[in-house]
Amino acid sequence: MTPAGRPRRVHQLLAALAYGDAISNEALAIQGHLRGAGFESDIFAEGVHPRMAGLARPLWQYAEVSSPDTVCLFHFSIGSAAARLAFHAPDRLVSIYHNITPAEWFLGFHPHLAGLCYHGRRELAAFAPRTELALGDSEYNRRELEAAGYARTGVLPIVLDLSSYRAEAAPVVRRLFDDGRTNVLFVGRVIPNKKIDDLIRAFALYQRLFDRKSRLLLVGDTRGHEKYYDRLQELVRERHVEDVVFTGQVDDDDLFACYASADLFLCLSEHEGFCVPLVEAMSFGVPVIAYDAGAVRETLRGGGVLLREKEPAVVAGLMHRVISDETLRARVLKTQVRAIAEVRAIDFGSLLLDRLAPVLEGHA
Amino acid sequence: MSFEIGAEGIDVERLMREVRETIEEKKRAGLLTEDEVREVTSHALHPVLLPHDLKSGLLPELLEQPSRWNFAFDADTVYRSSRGAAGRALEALRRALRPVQKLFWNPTPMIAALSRQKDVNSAYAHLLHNLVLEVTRLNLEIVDLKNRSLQLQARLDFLARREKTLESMALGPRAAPEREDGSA
Repeated sequence: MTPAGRPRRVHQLLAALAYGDAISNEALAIQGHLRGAGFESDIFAEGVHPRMAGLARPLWQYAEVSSPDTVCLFHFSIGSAAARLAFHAPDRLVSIYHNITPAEWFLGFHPHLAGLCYHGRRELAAFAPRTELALGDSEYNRRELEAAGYARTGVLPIVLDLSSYRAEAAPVVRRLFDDGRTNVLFVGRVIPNKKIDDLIRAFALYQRLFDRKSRLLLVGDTRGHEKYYDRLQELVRERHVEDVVFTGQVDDDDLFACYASADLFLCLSEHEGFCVPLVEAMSFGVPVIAYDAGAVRETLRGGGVLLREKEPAVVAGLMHRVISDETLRARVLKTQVRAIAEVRAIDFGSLLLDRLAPVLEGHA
Repeated sequence: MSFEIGAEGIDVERLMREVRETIEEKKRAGLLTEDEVREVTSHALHPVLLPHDLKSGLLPELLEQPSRWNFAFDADTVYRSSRGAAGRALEALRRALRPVQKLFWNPTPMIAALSRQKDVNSAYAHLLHNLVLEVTRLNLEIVDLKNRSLQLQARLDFLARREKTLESMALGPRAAPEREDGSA
Protein backbone atom coordinates (compact mmCIF):
# COMPACT_ATOMS: atom_id res chain seq x y z
CA MET A 1 0.00 0.00 0.00
CA THR A 2 1.15 3.55 -0.66
CA PRO A 3 1.52 5.91 2.30
CA ALA A 4 -1.84 7.42 1.40
CA GLY A 5 -3.39 3.99 1.84
CA ARG A 6 -3.91 3.41 -1.85
CA PRO A 7 -3.04 0.03 -3.34
CA ARG A 8 0.18 0.20 -5.28
CA ARG A 9 -0.17 -2.98 -7.28
CA VAL A 10 -2.85 -3.26 -9.97
CA HIS A 11 -2.30 -6.34 -12.08
CA GLN A 12 -4.33 -7.87 -14.86
CA LEU A 13 -5.35 -11.48 -15.38
CA LEU A 14 -6.57 -12.78 -18.68
CA ALA A 15 -7.02 -16.09 -20.45
CA ALA A 16 -4.85 -15.24 -23.44
CA LEU A 17 -2.79 -12.37 -24.69
CA ALA A 18 -3.44 -12.74 -28.39
CA TYR A 19 -2.13 -10.93 -31.44
CA GLY A 20 -4.52 -8.56 -33.21
CA ASP A 21 -7.12 -8.97 -30.49
CA ALA A 22 -9.00 -5.96 -29.14
CA ILE A 23 -9.13 -7.28 -25.57
CA SER A 24 -5.39 -7.99 -25.51
CA ASN A 25 -4.68 -4.54 -26.92
CA GLU A 26 -6.93 -3.03 -24.27
CA ALA A 27 -5.05 -4.93 -21.55
CA LEU A 28 -1.78 -3.50 -22.86
CA ALA A 29 -3.27 0.02 -22.97
CA ILE A 30 -4.54 -0.35 -19.39
CA GLN A 31 -1.10 -1.51 -18.30
CA GLY A 32 0.52 1.49 -19.97
CA HIS A 33 -1.80 3.97 -18.27
CA LEU A 34 -1.50 2.30 -14.87
CA ARG A 35 2.27 2.29 -15.05
CA GLY A 36 2.16 5.92 -16.16
CA ALA A 37 0.09 6.71 -13.06
CA GLY A 38 2.73 5.11 -10.84
CA PHE A 39 1.22 1.69 -10.22
CA GLU A 40 3.04 -1.59 -10.45
CA SER A 41 1.19 -3.31 -13.25
CA ASP A 42 1.85 -6.60 -15.01
CA ILE A 43 -0.27 -8.78 -17.24
CA PHE A 44 -0.62 -12.46 -16.32
CA ALA A 45 -2.01 -14.71 -19.03
CA GLU A 46 -2.72 -18.39 -19.45
CA GLY A 47 -1.61 -18.34 -23.07
CA VAL A 48 0.60 -15.84 -24.87
CA HIS A 49 0.81 -15.49 -28.65
CA PRO A 50 4.43 -15.80 -29.86
CA ARG A 51 4.29 -12.24 -31.23
CA MET A 52 3.29 -10.99 -27.77
CA ALA A 53 5.98 -12.94 -25.93
CA GLY A 54 7.58 -10.87 -23.20
CA LEU A 55 4.52 -8.67 -22.74
CA ALA A 56 2.84 -10.98 -20.26
CA ARG A 57 3.94 -13.21 -17.41
CA PRO A 58 2.77 -16.80 -17.02
CA LEU A 59 -0.30 -17.31 -14.88
CA TRP A 60 1.52 -19.41 -12.27
CA GLN A 61 3.69 -16.41 -11.36
CA TYR A 62 0.62 -14.56 -10.11
CA ALA A 63 1.16 -16.12 -6.67
CA GLU A 64 4.24 -13.91 -6.33
CA VAL A 65 2.20 -10.68 -6.45
CA SER A 66 -1.13 -11.85 -5.08
CA SER A 67 -2.12 -10.32 -1.72
CA PRO A 68 -5.15 -8.67 -0.08
CA ASP A 69 -3.59 -5.29 -1.00
CA THR A 70 -3.29 -6.11 -4.70
CA VAL A 71 -6.02 -5.03 -7.09
CA CYS A 72 -6.67 -7.70 -9.69
CA LEU A 73 -8.26 -6.58 -12.96
CA PHE A 74 -9.70 -9.75 -14.36
CA HIS A 75 -10.81 -9.81 -18.00
CA PHE A 76 -13.72 -12.20 -17.68
CA SER A 77 -13.53 -15.22 -19.95
CA ILE A 78 -15.28 -18.56 -19.98
CA GLY A 79 -13.85 -21.74 -18.54
CA SER A 80 -10.30 -20.47 -18.05
CA ALA A 81 -7.76 -21.22 -15.34
CA ALA A 82 -7.39 -17.45 -14.96
CA ALA A 83 -11.02 -17.33 -13.78
CA ARG A 84 -10.45 -19.94 -11.09
CA LEU A 85 -7.29 -18.14 -9.98
CA ALA A 86 -9.01 -14.75 -9.85
CA PHE A 87 -11.90 -16.19 -7.90
CA HIS A 88 -9.78 -17.85 -5.21
CA ALA A 89 -6.97 -15.27 -4.92
CA PRO A 90 -7.16 -12.98 -1.86
CA ASP A 91 -6.84 -9.87 -4.08
CA ARG A 92 -9.41 -7.14 -4.46
CA LEU A 93 -11.21 -8.12 -7.61
CA VAL A 94 -12.30 -5.88 -10.48
CA SER A 95 -13.98 -7.77 -13.33
CA ILE A 96 -13.84 -6.40 -16.84
CA TYR A 97 -16.63 -7.91 -18.90
CA HIS A 98 -16.46 -8.18 -22.68
CA ASN A 99 -19.65 -10.22 -22.98
CA ILE A 100 -20.43 -13.90 -23.36
CA THR A 101 -22.38 -14.95 -26.43
CA PRO A 102 -25.66 -16.57 -25.36
CA ALA A 103 -25.36 -20.36 -25.63
CA GLU A 104 -28.32 -20.78 -27.97
CA TRP A 105 -26.34 -19.28 -30.86
CA PHE A 106 -24.00 -22.25 -30.85
CA LEU A 107 -26.49 -25.03 -30.13
CA GLY A 108 -26.82 -26.36 -33.65
CA PHE A 109 -23.24 -25.79 -34.70
CA HIS A 110 -20.92 -26.14 -31.72
CA PRO A 111 -22.54 -27.93 -28.77
CA HIS A 112 -19.34 -27.90 -26.72
CA LEU A 113 -19.01 -24.11 -26.98
CA ALA A 114 -22.73 -23.78 -26.26
CA GLY A 115 -22.07 -25.64 -23.00
CA LEU A 116 -19.11 -23.41 -22.17
CA CYS A 117 -21.14 -20.25 -22.82
CA TYR A 118 -24.02 -21.55 -20.74
CA HIS A 119 -21.74 -22.29 -17.80
CA GLY A 120 -19.84 -19.04 -18.47
CA ARG A 121 -22.96 -17.02 -17.75
CA ARG A 122 -23.56 -18.98 -14.56
CA GLU A 123 -19.92 -18.38 -13.62
CA LEU A 124 -20.45 -14.67 -14.30
CA ALA A 125 -23.24 -14.64 -11.71
CA ALA A 126 -21.04 -16.59 -9.27
CA PHE A 127 -18.38 -13.88 -9.50
CA ALA A 128 -20.85 -11.14 -8.50
CA PRO A 129 -20.48 -11.38 -4.69
CA ARG A 130 -16.70 -11.80 -5.02
CA THR A 131 -16.24 -8.67 -7.20
CA GLU A 132 -15.75 -5.18 -5.80
CA LEU A 133 -16.30 -3.45 -9.10
CA ALA A 134 -17.42 -4.73 -12.50
CA LEU A 135 -16.77 -2.83 -15.70
CA GLY A 136 -18.45 -3.53 -19.03
CA ASP A 137 -16.99 -2.17 -22.25
CA SER A 138 -20.40 -0.88 -23.27
CA GLU A 139 -23.58 0.18 -21.52
CA TYR A 140 -25.14 -2.97 -22.99
CA ASN A 141 -22.54 -5.11 -21.21
CA ARG A 142 -22.90 -3.07 -18.01
CA ARG A 143 -26.64 -3.82 -17.98
CA GLU A 144 -25.86 -7.52 -18.33
CA LEU A 145 -23.54 -7.25 -15.32
CA GLU A 146 -26.27 -5.57 -13.34
CA ALA A 147 -28.73 -8.30 -14.33
CA ALA A 148 -26.18 -10.92 -13.21
CA GLY A 149 -26.24 -9.42 -9.71
CA TYR A 150 -23.17 -7.14 -9.62
CA ALA A 151 -23.68 -4.35 -7.15
CA ARG A 152 -21.15 -1.81 -8.38
CA THR A 153 -20.85 -1.50 -12.16
CA GLY A 154 -19.49 0.97 -14.70
CA VAL A 155 -18.61 1.36 -18.35
CA LEU A 156 -15.03 1.33 -19.56
CA PRO A 157 -15.26 1.51 -23.36
CA ILE A 158 -12.67 -0.16 -25.53
CA VAL A 159 -10.62 2.71 -26.83
CA LEU A 160 -8.62 1.82 -29.86
CA ASP A 161 -5.30 3.26 -30.78
CA LEU A 162 -6.57 4.86 -33.97
CA SER A 163 -3.10 6.07 -34.90
CA SER A 164 -2.05 2.44 -35.43
CA TYR A 165 -4.40 2.31 -38.42
CA ARG A 166 -2.15 4.74 -40.25
CA ALA A 167 0.38 1.93 -40.70
CA GLU A 168 0.92 0.83 -44.26
CA ALA A 169 -1.64 -1.52 -45.79
CA ALA A 170 -0.38 -4.70 -47.46
CA PRO A 171 0.22 -3.71 -51.10
CA VAL A 172 -0.52 -7.18 -52.47
CA VAL A 173 -3.94 -7.46 -50.84
CA ARG A 174 -4.66 -3.87 -51.83
CA ARG A 175 -3.86 -4.62 -55.46
CA LEU A 176 -5.79 -7.89 -55.27
CA PHE A 177 -9.04 -6.29 -54.18
CA ASP A 178 -8.68 -2.88 -55.82
CA ASP A 179 -9.63 -4.27 -59.20
CA GLY A 180 -12.65 -2.16 -60.04
CA ARG A 181 -15.11 -4.42 -58.25
CA THR A 182 -17.35 -3.06 -55.51
CA ASN A 183 -16.11 -4.49 -52.23
CA VAL A 184 -18.61 -5.08 -49.43
CA LEU A 185 -16.71 -5.86 -46.27
CA PHE A 186 -17.41 -7.53 -42.95
CA VAL A 187 -14.77 -8.15 -40.32
CA GLY A 188 -15.37 -10.56 -37.47
CA ARG A 189 -15.09 -14.19 -36.51
CA VAL A 190 -17.20 -16.55 -38.61
CA ILE A 191 -19.64 -17.55 -35.86
CA PRO A 192 -23.43 -17.95 -35.89
CA ASN A 193 -24.36 -14.83 -33.88
CA LYS A 194 -22.59 -12.63 -36.44
CA LYS A 195 -25.24 -13.78 -38.94
CA ILE A 196 -22.86 -14.11 -41.86
CA ASP A 197 -25.70 -16.01 -43.55
CA ASP A 198 -27.80 -12.83 -43.53
CA LEU A 199 -24.86 -10.94 -45.05
CA ILE A 200 -24.69 -13.50 -47.85
CA ARG A 201 -28.46 -13.28 -48.42
CA ALA A 202 -28.44 -9.48 -48.68
CA PHE A 203 -25.31 -9.51 -50.80
CA ALA A 204 -26.81 -12.15 -53.13
CA LEU A 205 -29.67 -9.79 -53.94
CA TYR A 206 -27.39 -6.76 -54.19
CA GLN A 207 -25.13 -8.56 -56.67
CA ARG A 208 -28.04 -9.79 -58.69
CA LEU A 209 -30.07 -6.58 -58.80
CA PHE A 210 -27.53 -3.78 -58.71
CA ASP A 211 -23.94 -4.75 -59.28
CA ARG A 212 -22.76 -7.94 -60.92
CA LYS A 213 -19.16 -6.84 -60.44
CA SER A 214 -19.23 -6.85 -56.66
CA ARG A 215 -17.43 -8.88 -54.04
CA LEU A 216 -18.24 -9.83 -50.47
CA LEU A 217 -15.12 -9.83 -48.32
CA LEU A 218 -15.51 -11.77 -45.10
CA VAL A 219 -12.44 -11.23 -42.98
CA GLY A 220 -12.25 -13.28 -39.82
CA ASP A 221 -11.18 -16.49 -38.23
CA THR A 222 -13.15 -19.58 -39.17
CA ARG A 223 -11.21 -22.02 -37.00
CA GLY A 224 -13.29 -23.87 -34.46
CA HIS A 225 -16.52 -23.06 -36.26
CA GLU A 226 -16.12 -25.27 -39.32
CA LYS A 227 -19.67 -26.56 -39.16
CA TYR A 228 -21.14 -23.08 -39.48
CA TYR A 229 -18.58 -22.26 -42.15
CA ASP A 230 -19.63 -25.40 -44.08
CA ARG A 231 -23.23 -24.27 -44.04
CA LEU A 232 -22.26 -20.80 -45.26
CA GLN A 233 -20.33 -22.32 -48.14
CA GLU A 234 -23.41 -24.35 -49.01
CA LEU A 235 -25.53 -21.21 -48.95
CA VAL A 236 -23.09 -19.43 -51.29
CA ARG A 237 -23.17 -22.36 -53.72
CA GLU A 238 -26.94 -22.88 -53.62
CA ARG A 239 -27.72 -19.19 -54.11
CA HIS A 240 -25.14 -18.95 -56.91
CA VAL A 241 -23.39 -15.98 -55.34
CA GLU A 242 -20.17 -15.03 -57.09
CA ASP A 243 -17.05 -13.66 -55.45
CA VAL A 244 -17.62 -14.34 -51.79
CA VAL A 245 -14.15 -14.37 -50.25
CA PHE A 246 -13.51 -15.86 -46.82
CA THR A 247 -9.99 -14.69 -46.03
CA GLY A 248 -9.66 -16.38 -42.64
CA GLN A 249 -7.66 -14.57 -39.96
CA VAL A 250 -5.34 -11.98 -41.49
CA ASP A 251 -2.38 -9.90 -40.34
CA ASP A 252 -2.91 -6.25 -39.48
CA ASP A 253 -1.49 -4.94 -42.77
CA ASP A 254 -3.81 -7.24 -44.73
CA LEU A 255 -6.73 -6.07 -42.62
CA PHE A 256 -5.87 -2.44 -43.31
CA ALA A 257 -5.73 -3.26 -47.04
CA CYS A 258 -9.22 -4.78 -46.83
CA TYR A 259 -10.57 -1.64 -45.16
CA ALA A 260 -8.77 0.54 -47.67
CA SER A 261 -10.31 -1.42 -50.58
CA ALA A 262 -13.82 -1.54 -49.13
CA ASP A 263 -16.73 0.46 -50.54
CA LEU A 264 -19.09 -0.46 -47.75
CA PHE A 265 -18.95 -2.12 -44.33
CA LEU A 266 -22.03 -4.23 -43.71
CA CYS A 267 -22.77 -5.76 -40.31
CA LEU A 268 -25.96 -7.76 -39.73
CA SER A 269 -24.79 -9.35 -36.48
CA GLU A 270 -27.47 -10.06 -33.88
CA HIS A 271 -25.31 -10.12 -30.78
CA GLU A 272 -22.43 -7.74 -30.15
CA GLY A 273 -20.93 -6.72 -26.84
CA PHE A 274 -19.00 -3.87 -28.49
CA CYS A 275 -17.96 -4.64 -32.13
CA VAL A 276 -14.52 -3.09 -32.67
CA PRO A 277 -14.65 -3.43 -36.51
CA LEU A 278 -17.41 -0.79 -36.63
CA VAL A 279 -15.00 1.76 -35.16
CA GLU A 280 -12.23 0.56 -37.44
CA ALA A 281 -14.42 0.90 -40.53
CA MET A 282 -15.47 4.42 -39.52
CA SER A 283 -11.89 5.43 -38.90
CA PHE A 284 -10.94 4.14 -42.37
CA GLY A 285 -13.70 6.26 -43.92
CA VAL A 286 -15.74 3.27 -45.07
CA PRO A 287 -19.50 3.91 -44.90
CA VAL A 288 -21.14 1.57 -42.41
CA ILE A 289 -24.55 -0.10 -42.52
CA ALA A 290 -25.22 -2.08 -39.35
CA TYR A 291 -28.15 -3.86 -37.76
CA ASP A 292 -29.21 -2.42 -34.43
CA ALA A 293 -28.40 -5.29 -32.05
CA GLY A 294 -26.57 -5.48 -28.73
CA ALA A 295 -24.07 -2.64 -28.32
CA VAL A 296 -23.94 -1.71 -32.04
CA ARG A 297 -25.90 1.53 -31.60
CA GLU A 298 -23.61 2.63 -28.77
CA THR A 299 -20.46 1.79 -30.68
CA LEU A 300 -21.60 3.69 -33.76
CA ARG A 301 -22.25 6.84 -31.69
CA GLY A 302 -24.70 8.16 -34.29
CA GLY A 303 -22.41 7.33 -37.20
CA GLY A 304 -23.32 5.24 -40.25
CA VAL A 305 -26.71 3.77 -41.06
CA LEU A 306 -28.45 1.80 -38.35
CA LEU A 307 -30.93 -0.85 -39.52
CA ARG A 308 -33.99 -1.74 -37.49
CA GLU A 309 -34.96 -4.62 -39.73
CA LYS A 310 -32.95 -6.61 -42.19
CA GLU A 311 -35.19 -7.77 -44.99
CA PRO A 312 -32.53 -8.80 -47.56
CA ALA A 313 -34.10 -6.91 -50.48
CA VAL A 314 -34.33 -3.66 -48.51
CA VAL A 315 -30.77 -4.07 -47.22
CA ALA A 316 -29.60 -4.66 -50.81
CA GLY A 317 -31.44 -1.52 -51.99
CA LEU A 318 -29.93 0.53 -49.20
CA MET A 319 -26.46 -0.84 -49.90
CA HIS A 320 -26.87 0.29 -53.49
CA ARG A 321 -27.93 3.78 -52.41
CA VAL A 322 -25.08 4.24 -49.96
CA ILE A 323 -22.52 2.97 -52.46
CA SER A 324 -23.76 4.81 -55.54
CA ASP A 325 -25.41 8.01 -54.25
CA GLU A 326 -22.48 10.38 -53.70
CA THR A 327 -24.50 12.86 -51.63
CA LEU A 328 -25.89 10.21 -49.30
CA ARG A 329 -22.48 8.60 -48.99
CA ALA A 330 -20.85 11.92 -48.09
CA ARG A 331 -23.50 12.59 -45.45
CA VAL A 332 -23.13 9.14 -43.93
CA LEU A 333 -19.37 9.59 -43.85
CA LYS A 334 -19.84 12.93 -42.13
CA THR A 335 -21.73 11.23 -39.30
CA GLN A 336 -18.90 8.76 -38.97
CA VAL A 337 -16.25 11.49 -38.84
CA ARG A 338 -18.24 13.01 -35.97
CA ALA A 339 -18.42 9.64 -34.20
CA ILE A 340 -14.70 9.03 -34.61
CA ALA A 341 -13.97 12.52 -33.28
CA GLU A 342 -15.93 11.56 -30.15
CA VAL A 343 -13.84 8.39 -29.79
CA ARG A 344 -10.63 10.37 -30.23
CA ALA A 345 -11.75 12.86 -27.58
CA ILE A 346 -11.90 10.15 -24.92
CA ASP A 347 -8.95 10.37 -22.57
CA PHE A 348 -8.68 6.66 -21.81
CA GLY A 349 -6.07 7.13 -19.07
CA SER A 350 -8.21 9.53 -17.05
CA LEU A 351 -11.35 7.51 -17.72
CA LEU A 352 -9.63 4.34 -16.50
CA LEU A 353 -8.45 5.94 -13.26
CA ASP A 354 -11.86 7.53 -12.76
CA ARG A 355 -13.64 4.19 -13.21
CA LEU A 356 -11.19 2.42 -10.89
CA ALA A 357 -11.34 5.22 -8.29
CA PRO A 358 -13.78 3.41 -5.95
CA VAL A 359 -11.28 0.57 -5.59
CA LEU A 360 -8.03 2.55 -5.83
CA GLU A 361 -9.17 5.14 -3.31
CA GLY A 362 -10.00 2.34 -0.93
CA HIS A 363 -13.64 3.29 -0.48
CA ALA A 364 -14.96 -0.06 -1.49
CA MET B 1 -39.04 3.35 -40.97
CA SER B 2 -36.61 0.46 -40.94
CA PHE B 3 -33.33 2.31 -40.53
CA GLU B 4 -31.94 5.53 -39.19
CA ILE B 5 -29.14 7.86 -40.17
CA GLY B 6 -27.70 10.44 -37.85
CA ALA B 7 -26.89 12.84 -40.73
CA GLU B 8 -28.74 16.10 -41.00
CA GLY B 9 -30.65 16.81 -44.18
CA ILE B 10 -31.53 13.20 -44.94
CA ASP B 11 -35.19 12.42 -45.19
CA VAL B 12 -35.08 8.82 -44.00
CA GLU B 13 -38.77 8.21 -44.78
CA ARG B 14 -38.25 9.34 -48.37
CA LEU B 15 -35.04 7.36 -48.73
CA MET B 16 -36.80 4.28 -47.42
CA ARG B 17 -39.68 4.81 -49.86
CA GLU B 18 -37.24 5.20 -52.73
CA VAL B 19 -35.38 2.04 -51.77
CA ARG B 20 -38.63 0.06 -51.69
CA GLU B 21 -39.71 1.60 -55.02
CA THR B 22 -36.40 0.57 -56.60
CA ILE B 23 -36.95 -2.99 -55.45
CA GLU B 24 -40.51 -2.93 -56.81
CA GLU B 25 -39.21 -1.62 -60.16
CA LYS B 26 -36.72 -4.46 -60.33
CA LYS B 27 -39.55 -6.88 -59.67
CA ARG B 28 -41.71 -5.29 -62.38
CA ALA B 29 -38.79 -5.52 -64.79
CA GLY B 30 -38.71 -9.25 -64.10
CA LEU B 31 -35.29 -9.17 -62.46
CA LEU B 32 -36.69 -10.55 -59.25
CA THR B 33 -39.86 -12.38 -58.30
CA GLU B 34 -41.63 -12.58 -54.98
CA ASP B 35 -40.84 -16.30 -54.89
CA GLU B 36 -37.14 -15.64 -55.30
CA VAL B 37 -37.17 -13.05 -52.51
CA ARG B 38 -39.00 -15.54 -50.30
CA GLU B 39 -36.53 -18.26 -51.24
CA VAL B 40 -33.53 -16.09 -50.32
CA THR B 41 -35.13 -14.91 -47.10
CA SER B 42 -36.30 -18.29 -45.92
CA HIS B 43 -33.21 -20.23 -46.96
CA ALA B 44 -32.45 -21.46 -43.48
CA LEU B 45 -29.10 -22.79 -42.39
CA HIS B 46 -29.78 -26.20 -41.00
CA PRO B 47 -27.88 -26.91 -37.84
CA VAL B 48 -25.33 -29.64 -38.27
CA LEU B 49 -25.86 -33.06 -36.80
CA LEU B 50 -22.61 -34.13 -35.23
CA PRO B 51 -21.59 -37.77 -35.63
CA HIS B 52 -21.22 -38.29 -31.89
CA ASP B 53 -24.72 -36.92 -31.33
CA LEU B 54 -26.39 -39.59 -33.46
CA LYS B 55 -29.07 -41.52 -31.65
CA SER B 56 -30.86 -44.06 -33.79
CA GLY B 57 -34.32 -44.95 -32.54
CA LEU B 58 -34.35 -48.16 -34.60
CA LEU B 59 -33.28 -50.53 -31.84
CA PRO B 60 -35.79 -49.47 -29.18
CA GLU B 61 -38.44 -49.52 -31.90
CA LEU B 62 -37.57 -53.10 -32.83
CA LEU B 63 -37.25 -54.23 -29.22
CA GLU B 64 -40.55 -52.67 -28.26
CA GLN B 65 -42.64 -55.02 -30.39
CA PRO B 66 -40.52 -58.05 -31.32
CA SER B 67 -43.66 -59.98 -32.25
CA ARG B 68 -44.05 -57.76 -35.36
CA TRP B 69 -40.78 -58.89 -36.92
CA ASN B 70 -39.53 -61.94 -34.98
CA PHE B 71 -41.18 -65.21 -33.92
CA ALA B 72 -41.31 -66.65 -30.45
CA PHE B 73 -40.04 -70.18 -30.25
CA ASP B 74 -39.34 -72.64 -27.49
CA ALA B 75 -39.47 -76.39 -27.00
CA ASP B 76 -43.29 -76.40 -26.51
CA THR B 77 -44.24 -74.02 -29.34
CA VAL B 78 -45.00 -76.82 -31.86
CA TYR B 79 -47.45 -78.47 -29.46
CA ARG B 80 -49.30 -75.28 -28.49
CA SER B 81 -52.79 -74.32 -29.67
CA SER B 82 -54.59 -70.98 -29.69
CA ARG B 83 -58.12 -72.33 -29.60
CA GLY B 84 -59.02 -71.54 -25.99
CA ALA B 85 -60.37 -74.40 -23.85
CA ALA B 86 -60.52 -76.78 -26.80
CA GLY B 87 -56.96 -75.81 -27.59
CA ARG B 88 -55.83 -76.72 -24.08
CA ALA B 89 -57.36 -80.19 -24.51
CA LEU B 90 -55.66 -80.49 -27.90
CA GLU B 91 -52.31 -79.49 -26.35
CA ALA B 92 -52.71 -82.17 -23.66
CA LEU B 93 -53.48 -84.76 -26.32
CA ARG B 94 -50.42 -83.71 -28.40
CA ARG B 95 -48.21 -84.01 -25.35
CA ALA B 96 -49.62 -87.43 -24.58
CA LEU B 97 -48.95 -88.56 -28.13
CA ARG B 98 -45.46 -87.05 -28.25
CA PRO B 99 -43.69 -90.41 -27.70
CA VAL B 100 -45.75 -91.96 -30.49
CA GLN B 101 -45.06 -89.04 -32.83
CA LYS B 102 -41.33 -89.41 -32.16
CA LEU B 103 -41.53 -92.85 -33.74
CA PHE B 104 -42.25 -91.14 -37.10
CA TRP B 105 -39.91 -88.11 -37.02
CA ASN B 106 -37.57 -86.26 -34.62
CA PRO B 107 -38.70 -82.63 -34.04
CA THR B 108 -35.78 -81.79 -31.71
CA PRO B 109 -33.32 -80.54 -34.39
CA MET B 110 -36.06 -78.37 -35.92
CA ILE B 111 -36.97 -76.93 -32.49
CA ALA B 112 -33.31 -76.26 -31.74
CA ALA B 113 -32.76 -74.63 -35.15
CA LEU B 114 -35.82 -72.37 -34.90
CA SER B 115 -34.96 -71.38 -31.30
CA ARG B 116 -31.50 -70.45 -32.45
CA GLN B 117 -32.94 -68.59 -35.48
CA LYS B 118 -35.07 -66.49 -33.11
CA ASP B 119 -31.95 -65.48 -31.17
CA VAL B 120 -30.05 -64.82 -34.40
CA ASN B 121 -32.87 -62.52 -35.56
CA SER B 122 -32.51 -60.50 -32.35
CA ALA B 123 -28.78 -60.25 -32.94
CA TYR B 124 -29.51 -59.09 -36.53
CA ALA B 125 -31.70 -56.31 -35.12
CA HIS B 126 -28.78 -55.05 -33.01
CA LEU B 127 -26.44 -55.39 -35.96
CA LEU B 128 -28.83 -53.53 -38.26
CA HIS B 129 -29.15 -50.73 -35.72
CA ASN B 130 -25.39 -50.38 -35.39
CA LEU B 131 -24.97 -50.44 -39.16
CA VAL B 132 -27.60 -47.71 -39.66
CA LEU B 133 -25.84 -45.61 -37.03
CA GLU B 134 -22.41 -46.19 -38.51
CA VAL B 135 -23.46 -45.55 -42.12
CA THR B 136 -25.16 -42.28 -41.13
CA ARG B 137 -22.11 -41.28 -39.14
CA LEU B 138 -19.84 -42.06 -42.08
CA ASN B 139 -22.12 -40.13 -44.43
CA LEU B 140 -21.88 -37.09 -42.19
CA GLU B 141 -18.13 -37.41 -42.11
CA ILE B 142 -17.99 -37.68 -45.90
CA VAL B 143 -20.06 -34.49 -46.24
CA ASP B 144 -17.75 -32.88 -43.72
CA LEU B 145 -14.63 -33.91 -45.63
CA LYS B 146 -16.16 -32.81 -48.95
CA ASN B 147 -16.86 -29.40 -47.49
CA ARG B 148 -13.39 -29.24 -46.03
CA SER B 149 -11.81 -30.04 -49.41
CA LEU B 150 -13.96 -27.36 -51.08
CA GLN B 151 -12.80 -24.87 -48.48
CA LEU B 152 -9.19 -25.81 -49.08
CA GLN B 153 -9.78 -25.44 -52.81
CA ALA B 154 -11.21 -21.94 -52.27
CA ARG B 155 -8.28 -21.05 -50.03
CA LEU B 156 -5.85 -22.38 -52.61
CA ASP B 157 -7.52 -20.32 -55.38
CA PHE B 158 -7.28 -17.24 -53.21
CA LEU B 159 -3.61 -17.87 -52.47
CA ALA B 160 -2.94 -18.48 -56.17
CA ARG B 161 -4.55 -15.14 -57.05
CA ARG B 162 -2.54 -13.48 -54.33
CA GLU B 163 0.64 -15.05 -55.65
CA LYS B 164 -0.15 -13.86 -59.19
CA THR B 165 -0.70 -10.33 -57.91
CA LEU B 166 2.56 -10.51 -56.00
CA GLU B 167 4.37 -11.72 -59.11
CA SER B 168 2.90 -8.97 -61.26
CA MET B 169 3.94 -6.40 -58.68
CA ALA B 170 7.44 -7.80 -58.32
CA LEU B 171 8.12 -8.19 -62.04
CA GLY B 172 6.16 -5.24 -63.37
CA PRO B 173 4.62 -5.36 -66.86
CA ARG B 174 6.40 -8.16 -68.69
CA ALA B 175 8.41 -7.00 -71.71
CA ALA B 176 7.44 -8.48 -75.06
CA PRO B 177 9.95 -11.15 -76.15
CA GLU B 178 12.46 -9.97 -78.68
CA ARG B 179 12.10 -11.37 -82.18
CA GLU B 180 15.01 -12.95 -84.06
CA ASP B 181 15.44 -9.92 -86.31
CA GLY B 182 15.86 -7.79 -83.21
CA SER B 183 12.54 -5.96 -83.47
CA ALA B 184 10.28 -6.01 -80.45
